[in-house]
Amino acid sequence: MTTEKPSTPDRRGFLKTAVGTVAGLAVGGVVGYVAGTGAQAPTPGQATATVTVTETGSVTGPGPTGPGFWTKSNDETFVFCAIHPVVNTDPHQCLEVLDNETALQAYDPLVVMGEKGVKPHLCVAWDMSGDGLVYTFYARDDVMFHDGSKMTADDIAYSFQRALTVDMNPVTWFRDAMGSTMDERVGNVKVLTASTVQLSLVKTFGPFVSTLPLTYIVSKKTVEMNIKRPGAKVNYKNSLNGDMGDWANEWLINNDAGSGPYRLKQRVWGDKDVYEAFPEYWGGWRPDSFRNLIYQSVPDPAQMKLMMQQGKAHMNDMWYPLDVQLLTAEDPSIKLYERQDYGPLYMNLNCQKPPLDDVNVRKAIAYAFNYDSMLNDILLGRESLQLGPFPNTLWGHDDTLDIPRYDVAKAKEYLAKAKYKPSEIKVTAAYVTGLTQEQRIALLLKANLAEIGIDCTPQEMTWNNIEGKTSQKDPRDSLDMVEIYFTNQYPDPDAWAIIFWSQLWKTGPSFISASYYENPKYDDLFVKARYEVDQGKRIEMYKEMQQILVQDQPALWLYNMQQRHAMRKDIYGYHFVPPAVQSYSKRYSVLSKYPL
Amino acid sequence: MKYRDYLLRRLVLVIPTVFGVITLIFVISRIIPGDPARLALGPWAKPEQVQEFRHVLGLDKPIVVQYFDYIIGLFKGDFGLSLTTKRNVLNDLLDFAPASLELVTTGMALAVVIGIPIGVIAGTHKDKWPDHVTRIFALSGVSIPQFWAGIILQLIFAYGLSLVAPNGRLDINLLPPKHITGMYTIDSLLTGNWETLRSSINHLILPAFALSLASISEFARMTRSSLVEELGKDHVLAARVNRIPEFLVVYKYALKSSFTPIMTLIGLDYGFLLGNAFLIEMVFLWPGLARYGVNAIIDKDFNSMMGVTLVIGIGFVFVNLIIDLLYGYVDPRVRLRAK
Repeated sequence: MTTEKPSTPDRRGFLKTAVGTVAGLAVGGVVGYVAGTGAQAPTPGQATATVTVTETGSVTGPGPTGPGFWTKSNDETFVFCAIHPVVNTDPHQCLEVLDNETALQAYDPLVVMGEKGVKPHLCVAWDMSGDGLVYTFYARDDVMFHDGSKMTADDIAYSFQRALTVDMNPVTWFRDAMGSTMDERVGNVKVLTASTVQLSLVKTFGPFVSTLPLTYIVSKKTVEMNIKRPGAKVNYKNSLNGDMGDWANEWLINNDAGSGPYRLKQRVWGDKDVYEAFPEYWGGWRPDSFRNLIYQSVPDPAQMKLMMQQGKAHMNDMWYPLDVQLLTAEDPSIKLYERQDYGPLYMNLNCQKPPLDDVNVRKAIAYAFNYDSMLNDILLGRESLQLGPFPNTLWGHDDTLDIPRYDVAKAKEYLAKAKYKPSEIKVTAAYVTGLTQEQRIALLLKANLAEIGIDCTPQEMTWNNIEGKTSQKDPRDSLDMVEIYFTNQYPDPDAWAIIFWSQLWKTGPSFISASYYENPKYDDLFVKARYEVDQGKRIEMYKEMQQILVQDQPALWLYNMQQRHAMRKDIYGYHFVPPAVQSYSKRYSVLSKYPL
Repeated sequence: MKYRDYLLRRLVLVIPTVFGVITLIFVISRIIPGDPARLALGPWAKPEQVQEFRHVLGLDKPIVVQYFDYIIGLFKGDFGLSLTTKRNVLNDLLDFAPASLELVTTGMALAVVIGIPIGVIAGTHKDKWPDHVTRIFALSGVSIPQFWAGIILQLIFAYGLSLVAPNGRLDINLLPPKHITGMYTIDSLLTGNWETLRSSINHLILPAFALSLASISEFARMTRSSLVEELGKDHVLAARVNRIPEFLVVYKYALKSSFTPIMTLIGLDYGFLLGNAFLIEMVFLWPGLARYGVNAIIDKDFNSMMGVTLVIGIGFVFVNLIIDLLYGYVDPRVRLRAK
C-alpha cells in the first residue's frame, strides 16, 4: 500500500497565515470604510434676521431675494416621524390626515384657517352675495408655481373643476351645495377676470368657506402636460373640460404641481417623502428655514423614540401612543407640544340595534362609565373630557349641557326603566388595533358595565374591518359600539352635527354614521342650520341640536384629543392652530433651529 | 432519465405550483370581509361612486371572470391597481421586492458564512467545550425573538458605538441610486456611486445580521449533526488512515457529503424569510415586501396581496429549484442516478 506524501506543514501553515492575514485586513478595511465618518459637526447658524411669521405661515422680512436669505446654514433637513407612510400626494385625493399635511407643504389653498376663523391666502379677499349663493374670490398676483408659471384665476378655476370631478374628500363637504350633478357643480366655477373667480351655489351653505382650506390650487400648465389618456385606469370627464383621462393623477402621486414653500423631490415608497425648498415661494422665508423636509415613516414607536432622542428626527406624529410620547419627552433634549384640538373621541352606540335601540340602555351605559378614571388612569391627566357632542372649544358649543357623569345609582335607575333585563344585554365595544388608549377605554367600559350587570366584550378590529362593518346598510349587521375619533373635519359645528344626521346612514353608511341615529326634529334642525348663513341663528339651532343629542345619547362623549407632538428643543416656530387636519401650522417652512 | 430531463421536469413543475398559490390567494382575498372600493374612496363617497369604482376594479364581474382577467393581466404586466398607492401593483413590487431580496440574500449569505463554520467547529469538537458553547449560541439564536435581537443590536452597535446605521436603507440626506436592480448596494456599485454604496452597506449590515440569527443557529446545528454522522463513516476513517490532512478530511470529504440537508434548509429558510422578515423590516424601517404585504392585508388591498404572494411564491420555488440543481453538483450520486 502506498500513500501520498502530504504537503509539508510549513508550507500549509504559511499559506494559512497568509490567507488569514489578507482576509483580516480586507474585512477590517471594509468595516472601516463602511462605518464612515459618523455624524458631522453642526454648521454654525447665522444670527437670525428680523422677520415676522404670521399665524397663517407667511413671513414678512427678508424674502426670496432679500439679503440674508439662503445662506449655508439653510442646508439643513427637518425630519418628521410619521406613524404610517404618506399614501397619496395627489392634492385632490388626500383622504388621510398625513396626506393633507404633506400636501400643505407643496400646495396652497385659496383660504386658510387662522386663530379666529378663515383667512385669505391665495386670494386677497372674497365677497359673498346678499343671498349667500355667490362667492367671488380676488386672487393674489404674486404667486409663482413650482414650474415657474404665475398663478391666475384660470388656475384656481381649473383646480376646483378638477377637484369636483375627482370628487373625493374634502370636496365632498361642499359639493352638494354647488349642484346635484358633477356637470352642474363644475359649471358653477367661473373665471370672471384674470384675477377673479366665482363659485356659485345652488343653495346656501353656512360652512362653505370653512370647507375650502383643503382644496388646493394646482398649476394648470403642469397638470395639462402630464395627463394620461390612453391606458388610464380611471378616467375623469365632465361637460366643461371634456375627457381628461387620468387628469394627471398618475403623475401627481409622484410629483407636485403646487405653489407651496416646498416641492416634492422624491418619493421612496413606503419609506419617506423628500421635499426641498422652493426659494421663490411667494409667502417668503425665514433666513434660517430648513432647506429639506423629510416625512419618514416610522411605524414602530420604540424606533421613533430612539430617533428623536438621538437627534435623527425633529418632530413626531400626534398619533403615537400617549405613554410613548411622554416617555420620549422625558429626554432633556425633547419638549412636548400640546394644545387642544377639535378631536373628540366618541363611543358610538348603534341606536337601531337591540339592546341599544332603547334610550334607557344607552343612558345607563353613559352613567355607568367612569370618565374620571379614564382621564386620570388611562389618559394620565393629559387630555380633557369631552363636554358634549361638539368639540369643547369650537364656536357653537353649548356650555350648559347636562352630560352624564359616573353615577352607578343613576345608571341602575335607567336600566330598571329599560325594556331589556340586564342579563339580556350583551354588547361588544370595538376599537382599532394598535390604539392602546382605545383598548384601555374599552376594557374600562367592560369593567364599569359589569358593575350594573351588563356584559360588554371589547373587540379589537383592524380599521378596514371597522369600516366594512359600519358600512352595512342594515344597522343590525353593524357594530354595537365602536370608538371613533372625529378629527378630519372642517371647523364648523356642521362637521360634527352631520355625524348624527340620519340621511347620512340612510344614503351611504360608513364609520361616520356608526351610531345610526335618527330623530326627525334633529334632522330638520340640521338641514336648516346647514343652509343658514346668519351665524347667530346657526348657533341657536346648534345649541338646540346638542340638547337633543344629550337627551337621546347616541354616543358616549369621551374625551377631546390634544394635538401633541414630541419635538426637539432646538426647533422653534411651531404654533398649532386647530383643527389639525386643516392647520396651516403644519407648514414647516416656518420652523427653524434658531429662535426668532 | 437524463439529468437534463430531470431539470426540465423540475422547471415545468414550477408553473402549476405558482398557479396553485395564486389561485388560493385570489380566493382568500375575495372572501375577506370589507369593501375595498369603499375603503379606497373614503367615508364620504356616495354609493354610486363606490359602485363605479367597483366597476373600474372589476369587482362587479363574476368571480371566475375576475380570476381569468387577473391571470391574463399578469401576462400583460398589469398586476392590478393598488388601492393604497394608486399605482400598478407591479410598480410597487419593483420598489419593494428588491429591498427584501437584498436584505434576505445578505442575511442568508451571513448565515451560511457564519453558521456553517460554527457547525464545523462543533462537529469536529464533539462533546468538547467548543461544541457546548456553540450549542448555547444556537439555542439562543432560535429562541430570541428577532425584533428584540434587532433592537438590542441597534442600541449597542448603532446608537451606542455608532459603528453602523440604526435604520433605513440610506443616510437621511442621500437619495437612492439610479434604479437598475432596486438593490442599493448593487445599483451603487454599477453606477460607481461610492458614497451611496458605503451608506447602503452601513445600513444593511445590522438588519441582515439580525435576520440571519435564527438561520445561523439552524445551519450550525444541522451542519454539526450532519458532519458528526459523516465523520463516523468508513470512508472518513479510510481517509484518516491514509494520513490525508484533517482539513481535507473535514471540508472535502465529510462536509461536502453532508451538505445536502444543509442546502435544503437554506432553500426553505430563504423562501420563509422573503415573506416573514416583517418584524425586522419594522424595527429597521426597511421598506420591504413583508411590510408592504402586511399593510396590504390590513388595508384589504387585494391586488397588492396577490402581487406579494406571487413574488414570494415564485421566489420560493426558484430558490428551491436552484438548490435542487446544486444537489447534482454537491452530490455526484444525484447526477449519476439521473444518468
